[in-house]
Amino acid sequence: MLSFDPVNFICMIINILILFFIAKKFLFGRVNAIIAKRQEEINLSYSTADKVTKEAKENRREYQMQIAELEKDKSDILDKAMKEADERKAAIIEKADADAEEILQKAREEASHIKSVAEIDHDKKVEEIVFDVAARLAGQAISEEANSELYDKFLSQAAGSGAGKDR
Amino acid sequence: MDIAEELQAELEIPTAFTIPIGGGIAINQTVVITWCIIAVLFVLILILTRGFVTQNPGKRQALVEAFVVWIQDLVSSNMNEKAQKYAPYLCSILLFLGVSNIIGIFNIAPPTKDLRTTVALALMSIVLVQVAGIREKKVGGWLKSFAQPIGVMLPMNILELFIKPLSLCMRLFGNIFAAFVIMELVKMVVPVVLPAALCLYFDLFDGLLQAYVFVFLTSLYINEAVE
Repeated sequence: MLSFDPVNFICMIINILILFFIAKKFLFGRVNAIIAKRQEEINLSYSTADKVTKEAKENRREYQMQIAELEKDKSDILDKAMKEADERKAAIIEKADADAEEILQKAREEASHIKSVAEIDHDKKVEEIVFDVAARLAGQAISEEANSELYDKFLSQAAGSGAGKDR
Repeated sequence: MDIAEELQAELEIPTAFTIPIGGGIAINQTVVITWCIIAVLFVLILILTRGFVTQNPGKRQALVEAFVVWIQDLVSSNMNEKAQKYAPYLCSILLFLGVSNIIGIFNIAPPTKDLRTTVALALMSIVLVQVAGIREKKVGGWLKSFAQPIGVMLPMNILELFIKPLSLCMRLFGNIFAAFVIMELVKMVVPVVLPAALCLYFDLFDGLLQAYVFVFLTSLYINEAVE
């Protein structure tokens, strides 16, 4: 109990050292190694998650940039189309105006032609009446009354042909 | 045989066997019990730490990990940053002392009842303390530390070199020895019921408490040495 012999004392020291070696290597060493490895895996997972998040954010930024570019392209295309449409509209209206003007011009020219033809016809008829009256006056002696009657007839014929020309 | 003789007989550390070298080297029971404790712990450790995985650990692994982390925290919490590297040794000592002190439950004489065990532990602890001091302060700084805070403290500090291990070993030995004596006396006087109840205090509570006190004091000495 209270005796002290060096052999057993040294044995005890060796025993304690052996136990320390066993506990350090097989218990604390193993458990700490597995905990460290797990921590490493967790850190790796976190870093991977961070990396994936960064990549996702980068992709999102790229997509947003692409969308912005597409929006800009869309706007440009729409502006261009609107401009082209306006130009074409203006050209069509201009052409329509020109066509209308041409048609009007033609119509005016035709009306003028018809008018001139009608005037010529009227003049011819007046001429014919005049010739007819002149022939009648020259061919027969007529009284003052008959002459006046003939003159009225001529005027009414002339008036009738003038009204037709005006129409 | 009277009580004193019976007690004397119980307190004797018998020789387990003799190695036939020279005049014969007697190996006492404490050493053999310590071998058994080491063997049992070794087998238990091998079984319990087998097939550890990093993901989805089983209940066994979770319990072992929780125990190891707890015991390491218990020891490390008393130590400063420079002293942390000595924590594994103190954890091993805590484990050994814990098992050795509570082994009386199984009616086996605790190794710490033998003065040789506590002297060996105390000597190793104090060597560790001094080695830690020398490693941290180098030999010159370590020698100078004996004259700190003032030169007049030199004799006291040199005495401390012997007082500290003596107090460590005597505290542990005295507590375990006294507990053993009390338990033997109680068993002689009241053989039933009372020993079972007192065993909870002397073998379990006091045993674990003394193991912790030993490790706690050693960690304090290491802290002082490396500061």
